[in-house]
Order: sequence, then structure tokens, then C-alpha cells
Amino acid sequence: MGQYIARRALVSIPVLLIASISVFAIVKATASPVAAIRSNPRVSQAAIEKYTHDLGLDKPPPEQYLTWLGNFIRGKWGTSIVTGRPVGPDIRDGLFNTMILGITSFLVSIVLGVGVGIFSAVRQYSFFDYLSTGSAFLGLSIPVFWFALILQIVFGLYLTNWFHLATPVLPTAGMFSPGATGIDLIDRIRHLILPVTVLSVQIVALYSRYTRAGMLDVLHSDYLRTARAKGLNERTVMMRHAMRNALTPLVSVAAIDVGALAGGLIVTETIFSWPGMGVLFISAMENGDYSVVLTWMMIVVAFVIVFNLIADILYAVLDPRIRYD
Amino acid sequence: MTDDIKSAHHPEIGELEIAAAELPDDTLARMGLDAVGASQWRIVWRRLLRHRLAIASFGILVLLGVIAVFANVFAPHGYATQYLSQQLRSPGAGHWLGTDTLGRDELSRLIYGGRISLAVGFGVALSAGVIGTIVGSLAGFYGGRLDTLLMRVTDLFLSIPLLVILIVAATLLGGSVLDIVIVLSIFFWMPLARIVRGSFLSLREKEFVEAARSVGASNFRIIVRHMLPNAIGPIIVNVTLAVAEAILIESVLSFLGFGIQPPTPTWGNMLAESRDLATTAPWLVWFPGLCILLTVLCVNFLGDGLRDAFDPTQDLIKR
Amino acid sequence: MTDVTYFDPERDSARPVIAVEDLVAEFRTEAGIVRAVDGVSFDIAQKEVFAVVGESGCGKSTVALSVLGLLPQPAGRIAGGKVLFRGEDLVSASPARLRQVRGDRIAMIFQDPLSALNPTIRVGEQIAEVFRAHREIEPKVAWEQAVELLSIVGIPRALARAKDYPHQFSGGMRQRVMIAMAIALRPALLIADEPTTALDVTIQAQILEVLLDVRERFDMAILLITHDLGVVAGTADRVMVMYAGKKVEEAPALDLYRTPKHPYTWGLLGSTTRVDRPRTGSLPQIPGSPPSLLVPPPACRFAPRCPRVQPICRTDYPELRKVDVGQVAACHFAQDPGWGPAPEEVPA
Repeated sequence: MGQYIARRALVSIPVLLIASISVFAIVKATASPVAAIRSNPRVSQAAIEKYTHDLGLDKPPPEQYLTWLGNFIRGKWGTSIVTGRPVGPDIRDGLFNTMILGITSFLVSIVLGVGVGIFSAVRQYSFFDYLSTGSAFLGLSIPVFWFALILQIVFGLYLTNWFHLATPVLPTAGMFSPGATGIDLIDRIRHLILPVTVLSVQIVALYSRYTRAGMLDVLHSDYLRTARAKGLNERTVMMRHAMRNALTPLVSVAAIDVGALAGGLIVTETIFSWPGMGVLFISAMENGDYSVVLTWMMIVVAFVIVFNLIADILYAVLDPRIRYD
Repeated sequence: MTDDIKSAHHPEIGELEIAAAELPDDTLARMGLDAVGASQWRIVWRRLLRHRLAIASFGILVLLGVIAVFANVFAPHGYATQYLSQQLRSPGAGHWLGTDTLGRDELSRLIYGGRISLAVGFGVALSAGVIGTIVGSLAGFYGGRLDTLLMRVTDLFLSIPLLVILIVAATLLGGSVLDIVIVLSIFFWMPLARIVRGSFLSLREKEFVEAARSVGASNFRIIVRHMLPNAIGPIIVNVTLAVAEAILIESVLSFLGFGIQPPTPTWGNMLAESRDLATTAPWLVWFPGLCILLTVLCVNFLGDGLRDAFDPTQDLIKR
Repeated sequence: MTDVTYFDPERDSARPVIAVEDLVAEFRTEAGIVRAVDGVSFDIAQKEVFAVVGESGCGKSTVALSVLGLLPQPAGRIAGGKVLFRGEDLVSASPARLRQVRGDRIAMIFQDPLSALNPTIRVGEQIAEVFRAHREIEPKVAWEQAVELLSIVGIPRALARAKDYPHQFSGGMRQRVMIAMAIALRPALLIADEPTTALDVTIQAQILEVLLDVRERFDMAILLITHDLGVVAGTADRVMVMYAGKKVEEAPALDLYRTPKHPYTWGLLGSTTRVDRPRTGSLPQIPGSPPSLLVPPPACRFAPRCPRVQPICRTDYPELRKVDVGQVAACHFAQDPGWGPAPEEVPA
């Protein structure tokens, strides 16, 4: 087991390196590091040259890459040319805020998705099964950003108008009310409800399908028939034999998805003005903020790769067939 | 009893289906079953017809397609014509679906926007389908280094979130319709390539491929005439579902401002323009979104129906 | 567990362990309702090995699953008849009662032991589970019992191997694990559904050996389902031949080989694999294939493939008729003197 983990972890290192080269190349092709300041008339040519030199941009690309990689690994992520602020804290805050939103949605979705999926599978072809299948189709077909806008209209406009409210039922933007001091838990949760709803609709749709399919596979498996032939009671059959095997694939899918969260909430964050990684990325892209985009992408890619590794390990822990191969 | 057929969840029923194939044709027609020798396409088509939702969806998609192609016939106004005295009209006579902030007719813009959105969806799905099929069959047929390379490249791209890489690539290329189709196609072929590779890897070992090889068929002929027809089901299903995905992603890109640029209307950038008007002109939010939802939902239903039609083992029990 | 029916020699030795009466089992399919088993009756005595043979799709596995109420849901159901276990009807028994009987009084092993064992649970645990489901027992004791069972069925180093997972065993060893699980509580009846089909010929003989051995040791009756008359020879006491959901012949094993009365049985005998000959692929050397059970032939179901078919075979259904002590056959001509296969119909 330990050997498997070590071997699998070692494989991730070259993957990370190759990914870092690609990220560097892609970002370099997209944004000129100095474009943002060159268009600013108040910055002198000399200042631009100094900046270019400081970043090592006058050297050949491979050397630039190595310099950057060295700095990145040591945590020297540089300073944004556009805002003049260090990149590190911005990314850290963004990541933290994104994770609050992402993890909350995730927990909600897993509970709902797995529950709905299992129930649909056990009651295959029941009214509930058809209902959940239909809802899943709707959830997977609805454009996320539009759904978010609709929720904003409903909660920010329609409900307020119909019931003649002074303030909206739920806040439709931001992480907390303006002017709030300290951490007001209720206020935070109220701000989470709409974005979490938007994110969960998709994930629940996906996971409930996934769980249902996995569960149906297991329910029709020979070993479940064996379990029944042994005279086990239905609870043991379901909990010990069916659910565990049905959910194993989902666990690793979920781990991969958690990794993808780091850069995956762009749309929801933009619409709900949630100051996370997505908002940071979009504004950096719009401003051609080279150092932010580069660091951002590398962090996101690292998250994906590391969580892929975790997913593989989890799978091996849960499924003994993997371990010995 | 389950000696030879292990594929279906209900092996017993799987066998009975086979047994039924031995019956004379007229009996079969009465039972709605297919005779031996009926072409694969006829079987698929008949199974699809039984999937009413998929057929209804197909009908709606054809209708949307016709409206999009003949946009200039169906649209009551031009998509860029500004009626300056009629800005932000709510839906009603004259402008059935209202007007936007520049006084442009919303219905006309939806129709022309639909033309772009559908063109992008089908364009991306088809080109990605062709690339994915070619790469996947080559990798699956020849295996070896080509296969390894393909799988590594796929892995690499999968480690960067799709939307992020699309935003970056769209920034590089630009915001015309063709640019967006190219950008999306570049990143849409990989899942299909994997699927095709998978079925080719298993088909490679099949007897009929061996037989074709033994009578001296060329590799090209084996791939195109013998293997591809057997992998066609998943390809068609995947390409269909890719249409939905491409339409969704295009609308997201355009919504975020990295996709197709105004004044060319797409459902996505219409929503982007409506965002700040959500409280004053909510209809500008409702209609483009409903168009996307309807289209994507129909494509997904059709894809699901096709999947059932191609893979009957999944759905044997009478509903 | 006082209401579990245990074997009482005085009361029970004269009665069959199990008596199946007029069993009808159906499946709902896309194309309509299919009768996989149509009015089949048989009984099995104490310690008897009773074999059910027939081609794939003839309903023999459905018979096996029906006995324990394990037909695939929701497609399958028992539409009629009785399954009397020591006089108690299992078809009408409550789910709770059925659960008590399963694994305890009647156990079952399946064709493909790899898919029939849970891949993520250690084999010792899967066996111990049977004890825990039916008896008040310490987990540790259940585990020890499981280890002992593994050695009874001939698994070397049982103590260590109990901690392994199914995929770490060879096919034959896996089937031994299945047998260990099935005999854990000394059932009165063991149902073996194609227990050797997925195995190599040499391993097949070993597994049959194990089955006969545990039957001896625990006084079990065995219901052996197989498509291979080669497996039946030397194993079974009595044989029932099924075709298209019907019982077509039943006889003591020796009589069936010596004087088969149904033309379908002749065909089966002709296509039997022999241990002393190389195996020749899959079974049917009988021309044609079994009829659809959606629209079965109106009279004798074997008529379309029968080498001796007569007009009456296509108009009248042949009831089972007695041809000898313990032998019945569903053929219009079974009682004709000299009725039997011509030499070329049973290749030597």
C-alpha cells in the first residue's frame, strides 16, 4: 500500500513539471508582461526596462522559465504590475473564499446527490426515479450563469415587489453585508445560499446520475445475489455489500472535482461578486496582469494534479483489487 | 442458463431476445421486434422512435434549425436595427419580446443569435467529432507510441479547467465566430478520441478484423470499413452531446466577454448585455436563457435516446 | 432461531427434502411476458444429487433461482406452483421466513465465482457473515469457523488465505470458497448452478469431488444445474432434462444414459463433452436452436428440431408418460417398444 502511494506520488512530479512548462508557455503567449504598463503614459521607458530586467524578461525563454519556477517554488510570487500589490495574499484570499463557497456546495451536493441517486436506483422506474431523472436532465442543461441571473431577479426583484419588502429576502451579491464588522455567521450563511444553490444544482444532477448508475450496476451484480442467497437481511445487503461498492467510484470522482474547485467557480463568483479565485482570474485576464495569471494558473493546475493523486490513492484504499496490481 | 451471454444485466432476458431473433418476420413485426438481417440502422431507428421524448426533441431542434437558417425570413426586424424611440420596451405588440437598451427588437436578435449559437454548436461538434474519431482510431488501431502520446496530451489538457484554458485561448485568437469555433474544437475532441480509442482497442482483437486482415485488406480499409461501423454508436451519441456542451460553453464565454463580440448577437452575449438591466428589463434575461435551455435540453434528450437506441442492453424492461 | 426447521430423521427421512410442484416462472421483457419455466415438478430426497440439464435458455437456472425466491427483480416473478421445503411452501412464505431459510437450510453456489463473491470484502469475512446472519455468535468464533470451512473444502494455508480478497484466488479456489460459504450452516439442500462451467476441465473434476465430499459429510441433498451431461455422469443420482421451459424427461442417471426416451435427450447425449476427450467449444450439435418462449410452438416444443417428428407432434401436446420405474418422458412415442436413438443419433 505504502509502496503504491509512493510510486503514484513520484509519477505526479514529472506531470507537474510538464504542466508548469505548458502553463508558462501558454501565459507567455497570451499576455505580454509589460503591455499593461506600456500603455500607461506616466511610466517612463527606463522604468519599463528596469521592470523587464527585474523579471528576467531580457533572457531567453528557458532561462526565464527556470527563474520563474525557482521563484514560484520558493513562494516568491512577485507583485502585480497592474495593482502594485503582492500576488501571494490576493491568491490566498481568493482561494480561501472560493473554498468556502466550493466546499459548502460540495457537502450539500454530495448528501443530496448520493441520497437521490441511491433512492432512484433502489426504486428504479418509480415515479421518484422518473422525477429525479427529469430533474437531472434539467440541471445538466440549464446554463449556470443564466440560472444565477434568474435567482437574482427572483430574490432581488420579484419577491421584493410582490410582498412589498423593504429589503430583498436574500442578498444577491457579495460575501457579507456592506459595513458589517466582525464575522456575523447568519449574515455569511444568507450570502451563501444563492451561489451554493446555483453550484449545487449542477453537481447534484451529475452525482445523482453517477450514483444511480453505480448503484444499479451493483444491484444487478452476482455478488449481491450471493449476499441475498446467504440470507443476509436487506439492511446488511444494502449497507455492506451494495453502497460501499457503488460509491467507490464516486469518491474518487469527488476528490478530482474538489481539486478542480480551485479554478472552477469563475461564472458563479462573477455573477454573485464573490471575491474568489474566479473573480481574480477574470480581472487579471482583462487587465493583462501577467504575474497574477501565471501564478493563478500554476496554483490551479497544482491543485488539480494533487487531488488527482489523492483520488487515485483513495480508490486504492477502497478497492482492494487496485492495490495488488 | 447464462452460459454464453453475460453482457446484459438480465442475462435471461438477453438470451430470450436472441431466441426471438430466430422467429419468422411477420411474428416479429407483430411484436415490434427486429428480424435477423434488418440493418443496424433500421434497428436503431426503430428503437429511437419508441423514445418519444427524443423524437419530440429532434423535432424541436429541426424547427430551431430551420428558423436559424432562414433567420432573415422569420425575424420581423434586423438584428442591429435600432428603434431609438422604443428603448427597453417590455414585451407586447410591435415587439413581441420587447426591445433592448438600444431599441433593438429582442425577438429578431434571438433568431439571429440562435443562428450563431447553433452554428457554433454544430460546427464544434462536427469538427471535434472528425478530429476525435481520426486521432482515436489511429491511437486505438496502431497503439504504441502514438497511443501513449495521445493519452499524455489528453491528461495534460484535462489538468487545466476547460473554461480557464478556453478563456486564455480565446484571448489569443480573437472574438469572431470562426475563432470561437476553432478554439472550442481544439479542446473538444479529446473525450471522443478516448472513447474511440477504447472501442478500437477491443475491436482490434475481434475475429472479423482478423479475418479482414487475413484476406489482405489494407489498414485503411480495415479501419474505415470494418472497425468504424462497429464503433459508430458511441461516436454519434458523443457528437450529439458535444453540441449541447459547445452551445453552453460558447454562451458562458460570450457572457464573460471572452467569446463572440458584439454587435454579432449570440444568446450568450445578449445575456451579458442584459446583466446590468436585470432589475429594469428582466425579459432581456429570461428569453435568451430559455432559448439556451430549450436547445441544450433537446440535444441532451436526443443524445440520451440515441444512447438507448444504440445500446439496448441498458433498457430491456418494459417501462 | 427456534422456528428454523431442522432435520428430524424419524419424521423426515421418508419425505423429500424439497418438492417442486407445477412451478411457473415468468419474466417481463420489452417484447412481452416470457414463461421461462412452465409447469415443472420434481422432488429431491435426502442426500440425493438431482441434476437438471438442458441447453442455455431452457429455464434450468430459473428453476434454481425460484427455489430461493431470487429471481431478478423487478422483471421476474413466480406465477404459479409450489416449492415445498420439508412440507413448507416457500413461494408463499414471508420475506423474513425466506431469509431465514436462505443460506441456512438451503444454500446456493453460482456459475462464476469471481463475480459471485464481493470483490471488496475478505473471503473469510464473507463466510463469517453467514454465521452472523443466522446465529448469535461472537465475531471471533465466526471467523475461526470460516477458516475451518476453508480447510474443509481443501484450501491450503486457510488461516492466511481467509484474509485475502477474491481476486487473489484462482478460479477453482474461488469456487471452493463459494462452497465453504454455502455449507457453513450444514444446509439440507445445496443448489449448485453450473458450478463448473467457468472452470478448466481438470478443475471441474476437483470441484465435483468437493461437492460429493461435503454431501457425504453433511448429509446434504444437491440440486445440480448444468448444461453438460458429462458433469452429470458419475455425480448425479437422478436427472431431469428441460427444454424450452418444460420438463421433457426424468430418470435415474444410469437409465437416462442407457435408455433415453426423449429425442432431445438423445441429442444432448450426442453432444456431451467427455473428460477423456478434448473439449469441442460450445454445446449444441443438435440442429437448429431453441424456440422463442414468447411464442412457443403450439404442441411439442421440440418438434421443429426433432429428427423423428410426426404430424401429431405439431398438433397435440405430449404429456409426461411413465416409461419405466422412476423414468418419465414427454414424447408421444416414449412408450413404443424399441423407441430409442438409432446408432447414428448417438455418436459413440
